[in-house]
Amino acid sequence: MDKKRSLKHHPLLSFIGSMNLAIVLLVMLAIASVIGTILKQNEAYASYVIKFGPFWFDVFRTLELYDVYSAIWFLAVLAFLLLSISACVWRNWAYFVKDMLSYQEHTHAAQLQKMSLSMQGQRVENSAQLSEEAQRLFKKMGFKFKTEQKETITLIAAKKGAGHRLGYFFTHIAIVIISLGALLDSNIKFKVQEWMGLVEAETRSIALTDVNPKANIALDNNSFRGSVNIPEGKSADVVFLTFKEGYLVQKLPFTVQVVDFRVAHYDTGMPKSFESDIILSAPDLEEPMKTTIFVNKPLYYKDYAIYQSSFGDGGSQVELRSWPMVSNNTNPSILAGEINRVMNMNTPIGDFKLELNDYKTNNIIDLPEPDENGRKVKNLGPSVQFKVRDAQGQALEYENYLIAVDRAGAWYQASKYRRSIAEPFQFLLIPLDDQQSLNRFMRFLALINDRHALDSILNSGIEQETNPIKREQLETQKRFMQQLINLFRVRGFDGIRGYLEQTVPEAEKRDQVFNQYLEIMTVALQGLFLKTLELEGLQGDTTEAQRRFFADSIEVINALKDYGPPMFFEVTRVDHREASGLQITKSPGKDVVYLGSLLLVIGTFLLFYVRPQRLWLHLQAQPDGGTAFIFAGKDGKDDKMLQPLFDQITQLLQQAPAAMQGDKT
Amino acid sequence: MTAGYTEQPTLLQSLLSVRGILWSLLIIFASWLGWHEYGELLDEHERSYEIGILIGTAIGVITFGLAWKSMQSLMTSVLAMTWVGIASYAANGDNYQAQETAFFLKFLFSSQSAIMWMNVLFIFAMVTYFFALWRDSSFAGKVATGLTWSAVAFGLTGMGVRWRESYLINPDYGHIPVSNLYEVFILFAIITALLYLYYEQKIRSRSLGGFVLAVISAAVAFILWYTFGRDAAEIQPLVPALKSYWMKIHVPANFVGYGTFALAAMIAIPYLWRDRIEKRGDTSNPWLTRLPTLEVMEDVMYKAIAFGFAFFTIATILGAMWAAEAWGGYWSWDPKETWALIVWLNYAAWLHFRMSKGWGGARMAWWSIIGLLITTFAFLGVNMFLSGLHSYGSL
Repeated sequence: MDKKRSLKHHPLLSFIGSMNLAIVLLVMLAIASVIGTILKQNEAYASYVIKFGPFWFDVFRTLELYDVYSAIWFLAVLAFLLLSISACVWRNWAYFVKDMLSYQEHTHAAQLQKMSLSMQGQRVENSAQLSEEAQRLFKKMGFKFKTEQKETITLIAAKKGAGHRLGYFFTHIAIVIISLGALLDSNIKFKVQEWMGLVEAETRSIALTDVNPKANIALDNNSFRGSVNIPEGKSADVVFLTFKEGYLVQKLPFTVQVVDFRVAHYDTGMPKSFESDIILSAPDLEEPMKTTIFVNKPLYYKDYAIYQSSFGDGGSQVELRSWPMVSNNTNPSILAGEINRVMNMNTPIGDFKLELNDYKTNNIIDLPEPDENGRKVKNLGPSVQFKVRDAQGQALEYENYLIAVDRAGAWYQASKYRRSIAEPFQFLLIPLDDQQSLNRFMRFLALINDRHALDSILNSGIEQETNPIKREQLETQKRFMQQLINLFRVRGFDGIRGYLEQTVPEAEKRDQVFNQYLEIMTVALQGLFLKTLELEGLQGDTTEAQRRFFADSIEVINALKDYGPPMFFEVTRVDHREASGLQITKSPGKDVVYLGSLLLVIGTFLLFYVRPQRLWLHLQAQPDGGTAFIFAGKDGKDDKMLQPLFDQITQLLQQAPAAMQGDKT
Repeated sequence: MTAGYTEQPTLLQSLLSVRGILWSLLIIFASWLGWHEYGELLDEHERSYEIGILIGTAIGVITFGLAWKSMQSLMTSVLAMTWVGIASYAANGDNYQAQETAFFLKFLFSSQSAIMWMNVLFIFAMVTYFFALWRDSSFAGKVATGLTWSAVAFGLTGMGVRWRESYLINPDYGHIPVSNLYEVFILFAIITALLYLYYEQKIRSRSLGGFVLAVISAAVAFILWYTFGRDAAEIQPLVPALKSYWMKIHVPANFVGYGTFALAAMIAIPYLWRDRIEKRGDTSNPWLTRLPTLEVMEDVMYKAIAFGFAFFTIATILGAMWAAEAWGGYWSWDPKETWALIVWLNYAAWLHFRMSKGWGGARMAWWSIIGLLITTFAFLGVNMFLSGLHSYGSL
């Protein structure tokens, strides 16, 4: 007993269990948490280098600020806090339990008199009678009591609200339990293995079989949280964990097959729900588990949980038409591709790689003004995202839509493009003909690309001319016009302006000359456009719609210099194949944490809403048959809270048939 | 001697009175009616949880009303007003656009009108409370209390009707209006006001009203800016992660916490004021007779923080349990979670210093003001400056 006591009062234990240390640790915990929310956690190292520069990047990395919550020092703070709270409980438990159980029936009269809630007096009734009545009263008020008789003295010691002390235990033990649960779910094991050099992140996107063996995590890992994308109809028995600058491959003791994946949308096009029909098979299951999971409804299997967390493309089949844009050929070639695959294209102007990146079923854009239905958003429909990479490895990014867009009554094929990630996407809107096809535009473009076509239009005028000098002039004009159109085709209006800057030295004259050139060029282009219409079998005066088509086409051709590749990819058909994004976790500490949480809540309420109160009635039989009494009370938290009850009983004690009025001390 | 001992009526005794029985029947009837009329609209996967929540809410409201009589009149008015709102929509073919034409909807009980009434009444209430304090007018004080009760009634009605409206716009959109920053700000104003009204009755003084209504009016200013500056009042469909019965319990529990923390911080202001007057030894200062004693204010502060802390603990745990179902882990160190922890640690420390170290006085008052700053950052700052999983309420 003595030994135990001395251990409890050991200075080290007192220090560890002191509230001051606990407060310091809590403050450290709070500061670390703040850092973790302000500094975005677990990003790619490269982005931190850009943000902080190489020096601070290294400093922060050494301090493990990129993953604060699993930093060694952070875990150490948590461990110390745990130790501190445990020491606090250890130091106090014996005293608290004793206090909880005790009625303090050995309190002396002198002590009672010193209490701030205390009064004394005399009554004519004998002490046995008074004692009986007092016991009845205490019972009615919900107090438990113990009566101690010693010669002429009777002490009734009553108590209530011992649960308050229990609240102390519950709350503090709860924190310890929650921390232990969290420890079960932490990645401490990884940390240790990492120190020992047993675990290394895989940074390459490669086939599973080629993954660095040190990035393969065995089944016995006690806790993890990873994700995996499974295309419809496919299955997986691993999950990927993000780790350091790469990932790890965690083996699973079961196989998950995604049978079907569905997304439902609201009328705004926003996703409303997504769900997967999955089959989980494991060697120890007699029958595979078949179920549907969706957001907010995971599947639990042993310590594992399988969540619907995202969705993506699982290799949709895409049919494309590749329209040549720099030749006089008007026949598109048909291509068949798959999302997440790369296609090699050999064209007369070089080799290209077509990388199909994603298929999106909906594209919601904000409208600057609400439409006629009052909607502020518009759905542009499905689209395919892809990159076209040339032989030098330079890539341009595109997103082509499957459905024509309507703009003030005319229809267009929309395509978004950008030259680098740093730039915003730009729209290219190619006008569509009466059949809603690209044919007319592509034919027009081919005629512009075709020298002979232009020749044939211009030659008719030259052939009729008999004067050889004028003929020669017309020939020169023809060559100039061809140059001009070629310049426009390759560089757009900017090309013509650039040409003027070189050839017209007077800056103020350039605008005038530019307008003249534009007129000349427009006449030629109109000729080509009329020929385009003729080829469609359309003759006679042009319609308003056709004139608009012409103007739109000129705008598109002007933009082609930035658009990039020598072909345009029209997406004609997509056979959608979805992949379900699953998150799979193993969390054996969850129930422990929940148990701790429950204790914490109960404890908090006990602490705040149970008042530990004590009352004492000290009776001393008098020789005349009457009784002298001392009545005292104590509230564990605040005597004021006991005052009303104390006053009420005081009043009762002072009531007739008292022989003498008690005087309150 | 025992005969003279009188007890406070217990909840059971209140329940068994005529008034208690009528009250309980009213709530049971209202709950049954709600279920009967709209039960089918609830998510089929979660029907059993929804029934549990409905029964739990009914029991909670009944108990609350028995423990605090004023709740009975409030809830009765709210039920009546909400019924008029919903019935007006029904009379107009359940057409959401009816709020532009139908009289009761246009001027009183469509969610937009009711919430505007709430906004205006809260601001009037603040002005009147301060006027009452300045002129030491008990009549103005009573008016201010009445205005606050009316504001709460309109706010709750607005929430109830908005819930119905979300289904009228599109049955797919329907959800309880606690899903974005606009809606929870209304919830915050209502809960903070109710908590204040409770303590107002307890301490029998209306002198703290202006201070508490000041923080509510700040919330109202935000609601107004958010409504007119950002069109935030529009009812939006829920993202899949929020489609869960957990939202109904996690969010309100959290706002009981936020409300009490705000209340405590606002009471700290008159506390510090009085403390300064007393420390100057200025015993003839008229404010000393108007403001409650330091003891009373300190007690309200402590009780509010203790109550809020208990609810905040529950709310955070419920949030963790929801996160375990929706995000795949009960704790992800998401900025909102982390800041909730910081708020929790702050008030845990506050309570430790008061309960174990016996701290009190001005420093605890200052601390509760600082606590509100931390809470505000967790509530609003995280949404504005940090991104994470909790991005539903982004500004």
